[in-house]
Amino acid sequence: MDTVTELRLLLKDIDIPDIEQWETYVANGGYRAAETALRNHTPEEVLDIVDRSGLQDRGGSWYNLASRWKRHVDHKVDYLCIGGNESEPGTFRDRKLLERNPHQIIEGIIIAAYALRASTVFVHIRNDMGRGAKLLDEALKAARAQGWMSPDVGQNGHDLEVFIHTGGGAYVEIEDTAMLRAIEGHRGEPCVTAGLELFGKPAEVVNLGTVAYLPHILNNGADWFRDIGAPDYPGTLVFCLSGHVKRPGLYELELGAWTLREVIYEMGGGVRADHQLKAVIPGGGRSPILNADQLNVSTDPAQWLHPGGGVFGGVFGTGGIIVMDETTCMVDAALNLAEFYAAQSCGKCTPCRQGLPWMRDIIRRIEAGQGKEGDLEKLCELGGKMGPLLRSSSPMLCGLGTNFAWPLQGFLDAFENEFIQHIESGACTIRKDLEIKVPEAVSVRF
Amino acid sequence: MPTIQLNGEDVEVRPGKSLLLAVLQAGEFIPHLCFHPALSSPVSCRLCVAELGEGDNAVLMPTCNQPVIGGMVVTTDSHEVVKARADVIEFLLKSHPLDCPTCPKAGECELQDYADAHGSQSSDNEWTPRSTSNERLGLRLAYYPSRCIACSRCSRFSEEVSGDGDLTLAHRGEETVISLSPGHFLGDGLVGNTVDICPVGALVDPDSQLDPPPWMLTGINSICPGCSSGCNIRVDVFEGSIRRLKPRANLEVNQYWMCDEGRFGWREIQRHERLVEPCSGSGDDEKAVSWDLALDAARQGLSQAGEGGDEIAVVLNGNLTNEETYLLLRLARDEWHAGLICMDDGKYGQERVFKSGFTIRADRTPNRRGVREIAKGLGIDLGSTEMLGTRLRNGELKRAFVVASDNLVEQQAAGNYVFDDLDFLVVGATSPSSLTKAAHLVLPMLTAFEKDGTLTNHAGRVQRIRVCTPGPSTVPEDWQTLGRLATNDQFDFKQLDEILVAMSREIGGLFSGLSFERLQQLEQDDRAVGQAYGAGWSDRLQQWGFLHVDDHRK
Repeated sequence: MDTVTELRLLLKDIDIPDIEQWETYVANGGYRAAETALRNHTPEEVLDIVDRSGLQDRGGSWYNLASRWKRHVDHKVDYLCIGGNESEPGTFRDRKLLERNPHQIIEGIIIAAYALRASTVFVHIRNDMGRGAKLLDEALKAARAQGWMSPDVGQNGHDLEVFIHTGGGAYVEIEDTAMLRAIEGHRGEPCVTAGLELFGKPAEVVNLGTVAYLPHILNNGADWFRDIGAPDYPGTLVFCLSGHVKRPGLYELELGAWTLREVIYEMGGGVRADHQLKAVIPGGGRSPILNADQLNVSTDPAQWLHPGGGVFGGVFGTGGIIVMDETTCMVDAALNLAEFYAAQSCGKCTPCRQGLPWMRDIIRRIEAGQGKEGDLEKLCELGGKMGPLLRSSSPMLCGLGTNFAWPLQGFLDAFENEFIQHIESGACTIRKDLEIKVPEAVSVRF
Repeated sequence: MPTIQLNGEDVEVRPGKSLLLAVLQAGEFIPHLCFHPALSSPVSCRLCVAELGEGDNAVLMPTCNQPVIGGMVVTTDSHEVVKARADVIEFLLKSHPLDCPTCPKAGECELQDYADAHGSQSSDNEWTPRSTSNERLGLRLAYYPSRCIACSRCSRFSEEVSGDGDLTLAHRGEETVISLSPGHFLGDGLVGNTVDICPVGALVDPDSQLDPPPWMLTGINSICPGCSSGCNIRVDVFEGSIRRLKPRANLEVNQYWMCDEGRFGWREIQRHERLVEPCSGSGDDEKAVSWDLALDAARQGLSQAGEGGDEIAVVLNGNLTNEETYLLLRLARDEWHAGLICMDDGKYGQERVFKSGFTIRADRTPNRRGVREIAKGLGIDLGSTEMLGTRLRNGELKRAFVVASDNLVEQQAAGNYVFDDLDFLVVGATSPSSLTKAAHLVLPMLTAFEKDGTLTNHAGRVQRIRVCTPGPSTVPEDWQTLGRLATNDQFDFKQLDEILVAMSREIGGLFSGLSFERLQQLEQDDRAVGQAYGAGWSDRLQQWGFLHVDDHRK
């Protein structure tokens, strides 16, 4: 087995001092891709390059970017919205990309907007990423001063203006329609629409961490990108490694090149000394939890994406890997997630609004040692009730309600004994270690 | 019309954007909470699920925003659907306070009815009612967040119908509540409708909280007398006294709404002091007389010899019903040969048009159009009140029959009309005023909610009003009073209906072919008087026979 090595695209320049400054970024080859796209290619050609590269969404949905862009009439939209509302538990990639290398994002935005011929771009940023929003704003000013945001920016009739929109910090605003509603000034709630629309005009939503790949694809060519990573899932992914590992942080790895165990032990250095690995959440809050024996699974989304077809029939998620050692109580961990989802439900659909707090209350009760016989059945039953009422075949507004039912089922499958033990003994017997630990080292300068 | 397969049978349904509405119109019930036909569908309550597709391909789908496509296979009675409905209701009841015995909505609460009809009768529901403090959102609106199911009907109403955007959802998840939008105060236009469309008792009218429960109320279909729109309403009465007005659904007139001015106006009308018996003599000589004496005096005084009619004036107003107008105009023309027949042209207000097109008309009388049409049909030129003033000043008038109105009283007080010089002034009025003081003979009349008949709205639509609350027992119906003013027996109407039939023959036009029976058919509502239930959309559902209400009033 080779030693695990990073392949840095997005993180390539991240440790260069002052890379957020215009001069430094340009000195390191910045804006060359945007220049190439706007001067040498038509929007259709750029779209074709994106298509051939096979780039997929990195926000957790993993849809093919170009095929979604091509659904629009004339492959054109009026508004392009960039989703910087990263809030999946255990995921902190966009925040760092924004705070360390905002010009890379802007260059990606310029290319994406050109490919879609969108003249107005909104960057929706979670309000508690204030530092990132500020840095992006400064970088935008610099780019604007250099003429990148102006009417007829490409001297071929393409206009561009970019606005930053700070959201209210709701998790549901990850969902496209909710984000569009929020940008329009309404409550950020998902809504049923025929197609994506902003202010009554066609719009497209792209994840912030995804557009950052576009400059690299333009510079190196679609075939180069296609050859990286797994066959169905080309490219790299910036994994967010957190929890009880020696070296948490961001690691950019080829998709499918390594197993989860290799990522955790070789990149992250494994769990702390004198401790054993107990559980891993492999892809943000919505992917099912794995126990220590299940880690020899490839980081190729194809292994995960198709329910029933992959190894765990789950979702690959966002690449937010949360590692837990034996000081973690699994009921407590489930409660933590349940509290997050219950608090983040927008309250629109009945099953989600009422069901998630119900689940949370049951788990909270179990953790407090007041669990009752039948509580685990009730948890499964609730998940079973919410599923059909919110499932994807119906005009699902968003996946939040079902997102928790899925990992919870994972918790129950992998650690049922621990739940039962809580109920039977009437107390939590795990010796918890809740102190904040300073990691030995990190991968990316914070 | 597309055909769909509904529960195994081919059914023709109306095309449209909402399968739910089409299925309801086809006669099959699907319970729903967030859906309202006049509002957008958020697809949030998930109660309106049905199975779409056949066999193994069947999937549970909300029907409210599902477009109707010919050939669809829709199942509303399968085990899965029944279970899904019960699940949604279980979720809703999980945090509902279940304070039905003290909730003013109990008896016409959609959640209560659906829980009864579609909920699972037993549950290991771990009941955790919300405990939140109640809030007064405005003069006419109190909010009980613990009962709220966050269906967003009220906030969509304020966004899409009234257009003021006063109400909005605040907070999220289980803490979602209704709140005033930042910087907004609750307007006074259509607030009452939010109480009507609230499917639970979260929004209530603070003034009616101590009223008898809905199942003790008798609902009487009538028309709002507040303006010339002619909104279809139901007057809910308890032991003969009005307790509340509710809009009925009529897509051609008022959709599902009524304005606050009309909805709460009855309280003002009820407060006035009333005239209960005829009075003769003016000033200090005023004394009560019997109806027979009073009518004799009126007949003699107004129809002397039939000659010299030029000196007689008759003043009508837009509050009279079509039937009363017809009788009075016939009297004025044929018996009294009145030289001046004029309509009081007062009582105009501000016209208000809301976002959905719902309009409060500037003309705040319900039947001005009807009076004009009948006068035209009888070949009478209606004079203006200016002419009345001029002729009064010139002393050209000797006798007059005046139907009192606020405007006339004001004009008299302002000195524009001086009736003091008349030889004989008969005033028909509901309450005492300076006008009745000046009269030589006062005939008591009834208010809008006390009489039967028809009104013609601004668009020429003739609609039926009914007796909702009895007037003073000593006052006969106005059409009987007017009928008895005739000296000969030209008016031998035994029933009110006969007057409308006579009008349909003599005047035609808007009235051709009309009778009370015909109006009832046009209304498509055979529950003119019955158990009160809901308002607007739920009233329509009950009319379609879906919400079976046991009559507890007996």
